[in-house]
Amino acid sequence: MTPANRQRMRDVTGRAVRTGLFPGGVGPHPHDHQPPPALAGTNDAGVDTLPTAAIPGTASTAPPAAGLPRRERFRAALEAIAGVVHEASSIDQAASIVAGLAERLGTRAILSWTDEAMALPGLTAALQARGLSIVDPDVPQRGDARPPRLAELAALPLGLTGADAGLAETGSVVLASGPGRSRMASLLVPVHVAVLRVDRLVDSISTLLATRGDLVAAGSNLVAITGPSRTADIEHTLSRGVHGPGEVHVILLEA
Amino acid sequence: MNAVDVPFYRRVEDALTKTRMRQAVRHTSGRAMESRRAAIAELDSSDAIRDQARAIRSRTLAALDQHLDTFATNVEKNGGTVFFAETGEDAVEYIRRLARDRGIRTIVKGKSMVSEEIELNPVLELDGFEVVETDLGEYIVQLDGDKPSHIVAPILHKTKEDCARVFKEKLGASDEDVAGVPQMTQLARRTLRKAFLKADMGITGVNFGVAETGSVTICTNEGNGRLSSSLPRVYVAMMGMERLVPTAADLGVMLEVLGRSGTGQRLTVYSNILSGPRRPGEADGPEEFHVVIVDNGRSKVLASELAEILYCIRCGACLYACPVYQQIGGHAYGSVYSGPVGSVLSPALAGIRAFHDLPHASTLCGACREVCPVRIDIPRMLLRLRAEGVEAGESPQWVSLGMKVLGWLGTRPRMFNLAGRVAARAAGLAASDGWIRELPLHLSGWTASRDFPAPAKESFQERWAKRHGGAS
Repeated sequence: MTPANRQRMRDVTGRAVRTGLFPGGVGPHPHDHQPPPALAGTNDAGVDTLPTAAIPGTASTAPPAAGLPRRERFRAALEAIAGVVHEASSIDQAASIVAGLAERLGTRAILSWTDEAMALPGLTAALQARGLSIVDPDVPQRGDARPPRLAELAALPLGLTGADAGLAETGSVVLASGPGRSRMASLLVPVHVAVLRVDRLVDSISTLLATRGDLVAAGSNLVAITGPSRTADIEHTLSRGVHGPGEVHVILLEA
Repeated sequence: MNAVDVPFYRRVEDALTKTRMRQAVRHTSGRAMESRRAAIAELDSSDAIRDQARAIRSRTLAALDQHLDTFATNVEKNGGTVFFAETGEDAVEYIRRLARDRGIRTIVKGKSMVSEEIELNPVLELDGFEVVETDLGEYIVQLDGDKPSHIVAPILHKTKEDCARVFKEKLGASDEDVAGVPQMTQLARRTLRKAFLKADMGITGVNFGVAETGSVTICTNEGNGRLSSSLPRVYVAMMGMERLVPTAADLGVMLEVLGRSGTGQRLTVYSNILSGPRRPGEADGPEEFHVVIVDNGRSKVLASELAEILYCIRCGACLYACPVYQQIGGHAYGSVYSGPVGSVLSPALAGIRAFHDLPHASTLCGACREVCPVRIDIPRMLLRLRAEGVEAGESPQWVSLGMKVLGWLGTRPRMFNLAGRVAARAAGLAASDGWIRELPLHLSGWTASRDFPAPAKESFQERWAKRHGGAS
């Protein structure tokens, strides 16, 4: 930004806000963040008060059931939007689940984060022991070699990532980019599987961002992924797997 | 942003004859409202979060100069570039020059209302760049040479048969390709993948900028926003200057209300936060990261009594809820921004003369204010703009003349009573069975589709005088 351009922005905006009318500024100060009140769909008596949504599989049909442990709420929320939840009690067991998915998809190559990036030591080795190979997502930034290399990666059926956090209310996995943590592993492929340690579950996006603001700009990208890619553009009819993965699996790892 | 030449009432009449379009709008609005209602039910137990969201918007805008400054500093700290565009032309020129300098060939675009507002695509296409809209709805709009009719659901006005026709005509799709919505979705995925893989520039809109981290957030369900901002080597975010929140904590609150209110989801599928170009060691992400902050009339609105309309987070709920929008669809508004929010925003941004009819496209029922996740008082501003229209001389001559006559009569009780009696007699002659079927001249519009009740034989004053036997 040139100094002149910045000064212009300051002047124009500064002049405007001095005369504008901004109703509604009362209420909790946004900087003293309080997590919003519990967004439960059940009343005090525990009776489900949610009406049935028009579209099967929309988020709103999930019975959120406050008071349940986070992992149960996470499972209910993700399953309600057609995500699949697996449970594993060891890294080896997680590897078996991934191998099972790869077998179903008829592939031996997986687009994946590195072991260190996932903070799941031994997972890669356990996958290799099961005959799977990990594909390096290195792509030339420019030139004619780039599109075919990208197309190669996009042709892989399965992507594997870790997760920096999970959101119980919404069934979301939160992924920060970084070395060994490619965005493509959760984006280009038709099926994405994320390994989420149970102790990384928090309640919601607002609690995460209020308590872990440091995650936001830790890498060039932080994304909360809430179920499979979807659209309802045509007649509000739900359809999955538009641009991102049409299938999302989360392996809850009890570490 | 330009108004179309056809007068508003003609556009409405035209829209009302499009039975198929109206069915599509009503059908889809109904379904959208239903799923939305279910998601909002979770929030309705407490309006506190909406108050909190409103307070965030209010406080941010009241100190927007400081927040923008912080934002720009932090985007640059992350390695990004910021440009403040005072006009739409400035923004278009910046992007066009950037694309030329970097030798760009193919541009993929995520959904951006600002880019529609400043009419970016035609300029880039004229310059020979291949520009591809990648949101499914926007893609169909682009293929069909049509315009979006809803800020969140661009093809609300199209049936699935309309979409099938577009794919067959423009892409040569087979019957199997368009057999159903899932098949059309897969067809679009296959076609647009090719564009994503070769694109060297990505452009998206911004849902929220975060000042303290210098980040931009884009919320999509399809994943096209993520692809557009991750694969091409140059990325440009186009952000309306008001679209900021101060902190990450504030962003959390806004994301909670946006998904629920916009599409009836607790959270959009991809809540995607971008902080600068790819970092050393990262395998993907753009080499260059540009944020274009667009004013284009916003600072003028910010300085006015209408600043509250800039609280809007573009969820589209007020469109679905509006009885007028449900009848006429988005195109009749003749502006990029339609529905209740558009009826305020369009004249506020482009001037009352360009859109003086739109503030009248409302019954003032208040449904928009009721559903708004940040509780914007849209009816208040519609009334304010109606008054502005009159002050600007945009009301028809016969209306202002009529008002003058009424004002003159109203301050002269005898004349007022006399005129009342004359009008009642005359109306009585025109009526049959207590109803007037046809009013003369300019008033004929009223009786075009309904009858007008004949006035009572005696006026209120006459009855009052009779009952109390005294002077009126």
